[in-house]
Amino acid sequence: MSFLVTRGLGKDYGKTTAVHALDLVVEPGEIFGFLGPNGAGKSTAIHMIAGVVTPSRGSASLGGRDLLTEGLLVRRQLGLVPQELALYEDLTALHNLEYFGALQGLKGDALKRGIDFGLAVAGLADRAQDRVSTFSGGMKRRLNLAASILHRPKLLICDEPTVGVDPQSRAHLFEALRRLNREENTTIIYTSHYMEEVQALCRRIGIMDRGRLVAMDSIQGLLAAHAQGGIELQVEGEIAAAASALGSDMPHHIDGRKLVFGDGIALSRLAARLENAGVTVSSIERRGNDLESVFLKLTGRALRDES
Amino acid sequence: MIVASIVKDIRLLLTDRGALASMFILPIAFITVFGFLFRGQGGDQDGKPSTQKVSVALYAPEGKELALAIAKKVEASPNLSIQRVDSEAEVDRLVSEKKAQVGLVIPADLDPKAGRPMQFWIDRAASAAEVGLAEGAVKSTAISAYFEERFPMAKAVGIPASEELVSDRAPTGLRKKRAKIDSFQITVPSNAVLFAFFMCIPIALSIAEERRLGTWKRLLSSPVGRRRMLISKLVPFFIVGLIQMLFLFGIGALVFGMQVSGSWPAVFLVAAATVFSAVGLGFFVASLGGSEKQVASLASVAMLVMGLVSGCMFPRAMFPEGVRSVGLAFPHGWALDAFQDALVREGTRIADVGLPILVILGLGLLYTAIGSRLFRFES
Ligand SMILES: Nc1ncnc2c1ncn2[C@@H]1O[C@H](COP(=O)(O)OP(=O)(O)OP(=O)(O)O)[C@@H](O)[C@H]1O
Ligand SMILES: [Mg+2]
Repeated sequence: MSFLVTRGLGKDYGKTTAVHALDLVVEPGEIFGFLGPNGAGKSTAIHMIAGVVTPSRGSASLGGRDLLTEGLLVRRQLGLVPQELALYEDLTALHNLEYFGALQGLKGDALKRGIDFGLAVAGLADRAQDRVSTFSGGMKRRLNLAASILHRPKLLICDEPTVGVDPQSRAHLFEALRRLNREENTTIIYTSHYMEEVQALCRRIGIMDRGRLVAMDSIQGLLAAHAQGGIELQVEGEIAAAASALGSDMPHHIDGRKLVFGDGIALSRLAARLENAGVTVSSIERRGNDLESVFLKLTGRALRDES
Repeated sequence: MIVASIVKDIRLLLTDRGALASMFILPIAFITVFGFLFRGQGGDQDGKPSTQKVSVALYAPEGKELALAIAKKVEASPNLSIQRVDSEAEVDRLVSEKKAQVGLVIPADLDPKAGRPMQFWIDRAASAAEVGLAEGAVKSTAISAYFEERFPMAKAVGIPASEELVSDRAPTGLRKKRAKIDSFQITVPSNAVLFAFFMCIPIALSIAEERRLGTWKRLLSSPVGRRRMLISKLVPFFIVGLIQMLFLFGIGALVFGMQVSGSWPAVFLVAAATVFSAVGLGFFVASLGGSEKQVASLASVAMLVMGLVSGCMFPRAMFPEGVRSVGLAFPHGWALDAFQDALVREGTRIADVGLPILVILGLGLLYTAIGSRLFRFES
């Protein structure tokens, strides 16, 4: 039986529709990725599942229990890692965890075990007595995760948990999530607007854009159905300036030092446009099949506006 | 979970020096400054023309020329609003029922030397400023009238009040009160009430901060019902408010020698009701939403205005007649009156402050109810 099922789940804020109608199925023990640009509706979608936002329509169930009518029971099995660093900076790590554990109904020995577990997963056991304000960004992110797993939730929802984190801390977080998934059989929903993250962590992903789920499949499935290669250009000088010389009829995005175009791009027109703008092209390459180009094809726009 | 919230919010408060200072140090500073400033009953006594007239119940039976002449002079005083009555008992009644601030009896056979002085009636348990104001206005008028009649020469000299000239009488319809009120019996409760309501600001700020931090999402996604969530958010502030009250009244009694002539249990119950009401008002402020900056600035202005009109800063008795009762629209005014009774009037029992306590609790419930209607869990 599927673990998480949503049917037509949607949310309106006044006249804006943050999420239209989400039909989602997540299997037990799965790591599911939610991919989408800023404002796509990722947070809203998972907030509806986590009980933070009341849906405007639709229904959802977790482990066979209805989210709306059995909310308290559902939320016992669920942990949310908010997009923000949802921690009290002026308290110690331990005091934060004591409080968040109590919110989950843990007390006494169970609370102590939960805290030890969380600290171990986050690799912060030796910093438990320190104030959070003295932590590095990466450590705060790890504690943000620890605070959500004290009760060993069956479903862990992570909302962009790696924002502002160095590669080392990111690797640590990923390892922690993989271990939770492997050893605790925790089902994980992971939102991000980083392709690499989702590609590295998830077997199946949903792509969101403008409040709609535009595709949902395994990575292989998505690549097979939608990948379309593409072209990568490197230019001399300011890449943003080069990009601004291109019109909206030439959909593209910037990836590091490269300008990336879909397969359908008219090369001769592109060359002329760049030459007119006085941009010198230093290299041109075909691009491999990847999720980035899948996204570009599905939505007609790049996943992220800048780098 | 509620215990954990209390522990957490008190820990957070302990790290917040600013909040601690404004809850505990600042009110003590106010109490100290105003307590010593008004020691010996206020500065309004020195004949400064007051903005409002003192109401006087005057009984001056037809008698000797002297009594008549003094009565006439008193009646002509621009500072006094005179109500002539027909008996001493009537004077007693009017002052007891607070229909007149002051009573003055000029005996027909007025003769201070022979032990027949004028009689001055006042409820000394009223606020110090009110007593000072009324006493100054009436006694000085009566005494100077006496001297003008008896010794026209004395007019220029400015003769001081003489005990044998005017004897003090206490209205019998009132419960007993101490002969003299000390200024701390006023500044301690006024500042305690004023600062208890300032609690609204940290309450609203704390909720706004949880939303900004994202810890609010942790609460919403936890298996805690929304009502319990709110209670656990408000109870810590109720406890801190009680501690604040205990602290202020404790310092008042132990350090400043504030007397409690009425009843400590009554003081405590009024304090608890006041804190309840302040927390309710804080929840209402929080339910209005807005950024932390907006909350801090708007709420502090609102708290100052409420404190002002209900007499936390200046006694309501100093306000013009029409404005005086406006203070009773807020729990502050009721709390001040109840504290006054519990501190100053001997023999005050809990039942005597029952009505104000009910009103204060009722207003607190009203704020909570409106807050619940307006409060948005999701923003
Ligand atoms: N509380 C709210 N009130 C009004 N509009 C909102 C609210 N929350 C989200 N929205 C709108 O809903 C849309 C989706 O927002 P959401 O935060 O779900 O996107 P997201 O995919 O998580 O974006 P990001 O990557 O920036 O976190 C946006 O247009 C946003 O402006
Ligand atoms: Mg988001």
